[in-house]
Amino acid sequence: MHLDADAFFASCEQAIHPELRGKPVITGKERGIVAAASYEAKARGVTRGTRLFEVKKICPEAVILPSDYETYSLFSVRMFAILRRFSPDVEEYSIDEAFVDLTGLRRSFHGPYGMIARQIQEAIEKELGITVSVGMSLSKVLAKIASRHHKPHGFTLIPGREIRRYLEELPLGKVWGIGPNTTAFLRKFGIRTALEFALREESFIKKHLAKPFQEIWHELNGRSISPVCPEAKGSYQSISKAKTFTPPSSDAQFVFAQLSKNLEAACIKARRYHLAATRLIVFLRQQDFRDQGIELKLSRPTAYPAELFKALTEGFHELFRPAARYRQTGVVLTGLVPATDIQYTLFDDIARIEKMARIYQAVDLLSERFGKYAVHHGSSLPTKIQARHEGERGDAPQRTSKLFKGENNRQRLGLPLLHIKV
Amino acid sequence: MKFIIEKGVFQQSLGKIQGIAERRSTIPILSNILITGEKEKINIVATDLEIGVMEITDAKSVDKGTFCVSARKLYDIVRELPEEKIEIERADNFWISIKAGKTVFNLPGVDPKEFPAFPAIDGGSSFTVSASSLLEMIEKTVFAASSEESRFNLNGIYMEKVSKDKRDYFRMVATDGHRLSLIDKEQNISFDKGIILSRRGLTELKKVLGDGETEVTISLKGNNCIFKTEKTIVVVRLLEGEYPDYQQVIPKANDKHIVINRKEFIGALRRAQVIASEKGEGVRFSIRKAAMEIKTGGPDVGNVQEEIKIEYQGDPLEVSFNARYLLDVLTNIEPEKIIMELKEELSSGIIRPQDGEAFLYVIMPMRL
Repeated sequence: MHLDADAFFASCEQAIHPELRGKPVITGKERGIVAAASYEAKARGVTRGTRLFEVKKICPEAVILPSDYETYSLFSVRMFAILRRFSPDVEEYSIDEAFVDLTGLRRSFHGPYGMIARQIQEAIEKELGITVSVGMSLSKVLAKIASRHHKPHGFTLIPGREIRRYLEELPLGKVWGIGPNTTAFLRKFGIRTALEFALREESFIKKHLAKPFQEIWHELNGRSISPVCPEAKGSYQSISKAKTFTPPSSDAQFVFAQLSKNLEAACIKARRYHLAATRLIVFLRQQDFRDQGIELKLSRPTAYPAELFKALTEGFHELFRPAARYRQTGVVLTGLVPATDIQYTLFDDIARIEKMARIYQAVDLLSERFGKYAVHHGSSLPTKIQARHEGERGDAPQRTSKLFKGENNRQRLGLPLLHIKV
Repeated sequence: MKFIIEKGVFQQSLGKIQGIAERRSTIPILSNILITGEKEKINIVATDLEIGVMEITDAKSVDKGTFCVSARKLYDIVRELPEEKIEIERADNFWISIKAGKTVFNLPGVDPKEFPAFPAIDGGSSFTVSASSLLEMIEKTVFAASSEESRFNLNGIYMEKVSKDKRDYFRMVATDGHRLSLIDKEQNISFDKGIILSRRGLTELKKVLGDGETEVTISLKGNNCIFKTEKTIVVVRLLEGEYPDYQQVIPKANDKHIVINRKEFIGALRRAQVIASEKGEGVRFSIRKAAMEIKTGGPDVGNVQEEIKIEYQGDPLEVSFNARYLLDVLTNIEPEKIIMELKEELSSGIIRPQDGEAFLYVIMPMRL
């Protein structure tokens, strides 16, 4: 079973602000573009990625809100918890999507799979006040097609004998895992729809396509190849952190501070998973969405910003043009290796590294007790200027401005806050 | 142009240069070899612009001239020909014909003028070393050089002249940053500055030296280092840049000296490596009086421990090393016993032969 929340961010906002139900709600105010649009807004032609000034033209009554990721992730956690009440095999595919393996559960729920799925859907809608679309079928790829088939609040079951009917009209590019390159490649062989692809003989698929696509082919034919993986992500190929800020800036110190903060965030995550990077990618995005990036090799694997600042500064100076205006910065830690067994190099100053390790251990400990970024690097400090901007423009999510007793900017209770006007 | 040559001799010469001719497919001309005939000898030249090799081979009935053909094609043909004399003749439009017994091949070639000129090799002060000792020096250092392209100055092997007790030594040093290998041979040497040669250059040289040569004359000319033996000339372009200050990473105050039987140590490390290879090669050593425990493992890979006899009388010490780095050096040196000189858990250690040979290996510990 594949489950996909409908307009998740917007739905969450509607759930905590009941007065917004039935109204076109848009999130993403701080980014200047639509991050999510409620179905009411979508009905008026607002799509993801539309610029906000255009939204005001096509849908002037839209309620535009800043993204409140804290609330969204709390809803997400609760949604997955509900799924786990039904089946232990839940794969958290993204913040608002999950695969659930229901195989063998008919006995305990005394009913067919369809009924169990309906119960899950109902439970989420009743308990969280958001709607989800559910697709059921024999494999993950087919279940994903099913959940997209009818949205919002859809329920689609594709049994083996009806696969054909669903694939017939489906353009190949809409199949999960098949991108524009593969689509264009297969068009050369006269394959345009998912059905045409599924009906090709195995020898053709094996000859022309790599393993992941061979798996998709099997899955489209109703043979489940990739199982639902219930484990939380424990290993990473790379860790990236990027953040958009408005208004765009050409202030070198401010843009660098954004990078610096992204680097700190990426390193925190790397340390949490006991990983260290051997390469660092730095990128800057300009106002007109042009990206510049650079990849830097590190002299030893590390997850300590203090060691990475030299490379970061180098990359930044390489990329930064004072005349340009930037809207986003990002860093990627890549070439990740386990940080548990460290091979020092002959040219390292080990006493210094050991000292640094102790400093960051302390930083992580302080963050655990007093909230993320309780201690941070001075170079990240100018990002606070932006926070002030946000306040002036009213761009900060409500959750950070309305605090319970004892809460502060960094530490809040793990509860979504329901806003009801009386 | 025309010559007659023994199949065996020709095949051997062509085999030696294949590795160089084939390397860079981006510049098509370099997949060819240039053959020049003169005075009962032929010169076969291959280059990848970093390394150039000239094989000088005896031939008969040589008519002066030159041609240029695909290295791979010619080698494949010669390999399959019967054990007989091979006659090669240049035809029009750079074609060549190859005759052996009743077989005739005709092969298209390219204009020899397009082939890069072989660098000048004469002049410059030179010195001569025995091929076997040069080979030994390369074998004992080259494995420690970095194979990562990015650290290009660690990618090479450093060579320089050093003087100890009023005697001159030829020194080679290689390091990848994790370990360092250094060897000295007493030798009159004419370099006035240190040079860096690529790992690949020396690997190619090794192939040539392993072939029954007795003496090698080494000289510097412009940006090239030239190695000349009776039958082969190898020209290796110098790597630019500064070699890191390797003296600074050789520890001077390691007072804990441990003597270990080399073969026993290798056996124990190979066994530990079966497990260690799954977790970054880290192996832990607990050193006590007269015994060393070697152990490694983890919750998901299993574990192994073993104790071996050592000669040691100092305080106990715990230290971890990469098993592969230890095996690299232990399998490249010959003495029965080696000395491991350590100081403390996180400072670098030295491995040297007990027999006093002028070789040393510096290795950085791991933190497990």
